[in-house]
Amino acid sequence: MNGCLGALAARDAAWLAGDGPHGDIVVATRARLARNLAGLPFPHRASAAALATVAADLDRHLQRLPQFAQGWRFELGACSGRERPLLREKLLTGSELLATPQHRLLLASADLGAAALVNGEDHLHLCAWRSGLAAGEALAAALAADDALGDACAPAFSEEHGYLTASPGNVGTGLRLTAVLHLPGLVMADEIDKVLNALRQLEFGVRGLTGEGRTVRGALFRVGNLTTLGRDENEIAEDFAGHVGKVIVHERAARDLLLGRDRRGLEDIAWRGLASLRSARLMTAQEAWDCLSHARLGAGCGLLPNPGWDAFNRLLVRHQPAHLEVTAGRQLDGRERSAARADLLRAHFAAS
Amino acid sequence: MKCHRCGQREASVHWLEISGETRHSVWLCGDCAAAGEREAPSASGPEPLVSFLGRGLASGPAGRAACPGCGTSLEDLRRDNRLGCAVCYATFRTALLPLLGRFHRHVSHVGKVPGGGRPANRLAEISRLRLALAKAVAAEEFERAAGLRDRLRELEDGGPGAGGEA
Repeated sequence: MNGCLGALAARDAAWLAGDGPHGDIVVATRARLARNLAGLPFPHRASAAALATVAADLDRHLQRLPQFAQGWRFELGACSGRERPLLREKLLTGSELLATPQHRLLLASADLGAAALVNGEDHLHLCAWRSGLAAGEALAAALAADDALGDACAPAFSEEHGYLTASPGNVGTGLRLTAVLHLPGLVMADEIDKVLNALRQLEFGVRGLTGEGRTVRGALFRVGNLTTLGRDENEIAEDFAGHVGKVIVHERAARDLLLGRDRRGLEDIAWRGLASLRSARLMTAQEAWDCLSHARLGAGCGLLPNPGWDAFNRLLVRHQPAHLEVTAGRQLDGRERSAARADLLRAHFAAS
Repeated sequence: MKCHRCGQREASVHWLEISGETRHSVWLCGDCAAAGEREAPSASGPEPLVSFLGRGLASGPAGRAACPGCGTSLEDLRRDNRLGCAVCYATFRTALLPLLGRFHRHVSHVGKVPGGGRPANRLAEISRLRLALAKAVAAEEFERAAGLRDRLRELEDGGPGAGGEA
């Protein structure tokens, strides 16, 4: 098993390939199943000894699964404060595992398409990612991992409420499906509020890609189901795919509207974005999010040469601060990060 | 387009902040965006659903009983918005049920059970059949709806156990 964060920083997840359905708009879909072990307190109420027991137990069982046997394994308590955010930038963990790292484990498959988080909000979160809009496939992969763990880990379960979780918002199936969507057309056409409000009415959660603050960067949104009880996994996945599909239709319509209304203006924004990616010597994170977004929009509308959705997806992850610092092997100040970011982006776009 | 903050330099960055129902959108130059990035909030707001437990229990009775499984009290639930262990679901069932119903629109599990089977309990099957019936009616599949309704009546009257497909 590989536990080297430097190697992880250099590894691009397979689901960033951009070859999934609607890969121009949907970066990826994730399915997450929340599980707890029967007879033990949930992590936030558990003693250090109980957390250690859970970690050792699940570690042993998870390592028997073929996807994790040859993959990555990180004990978060052993990672430095500079390194841990790398796991969040890879979208492998949320902030909870990072804030209290003792007895927290992260196992991931070699291609980063599957992950198991131990002792986060719940004892176990099993995750599976797929490129593009692929809720059914991501769900099937997560359920297969859950089946493979099987009765080895007797889950906390009641016939009435299903899989029991620390947050009652996850109880039942424990299934959260999330898609990362690039919606610059809706943002620029000033239609995004209507779409996001409609999604909220339909009991979907919407956040920025990084998921921590309220700021949305680069028109990248994470959309996920909020309700987990009372519908089976396949119904949740069908509902999710149907509603995200409608968002995609609205995004395409918004792009057509912008092209019809002011093609030259859209070309200008897209080409300026690409020019900065090709030429800038210093680039802040916010500017990079926007330039990547504008160039991606231009490529999606056929206004720019398309370097491939995989290039955009990989750079969205790699230009973030922990990736730059782990790659450099040292802490960087703001100006050094801007320089490293500009170098990274220029190396990819200069020839395009 | 000029930067909305300094009004001097050409804007190159689109800054969008969404808070609840409101959205704040500005175009900034590189310098103002860099300054804004340093000022941008990094702490997370609560997830939409995480605080529902605390809100829902806020008007309830004062906490008395603690969970025998983990010692969590109603006060702890209000503060943490999380249950402490599996036993909490039984301990606080009376307080939880209306909240689960309000949030999830359902209180009974439908879906996978450990071991990979379908749910065997009556409540879960009733919940599943009600959903299927609503869908069948909406799709004007009246023959299927009639079958589902008959099966529902059987179960609600305490008839044969659940488990069969309607």
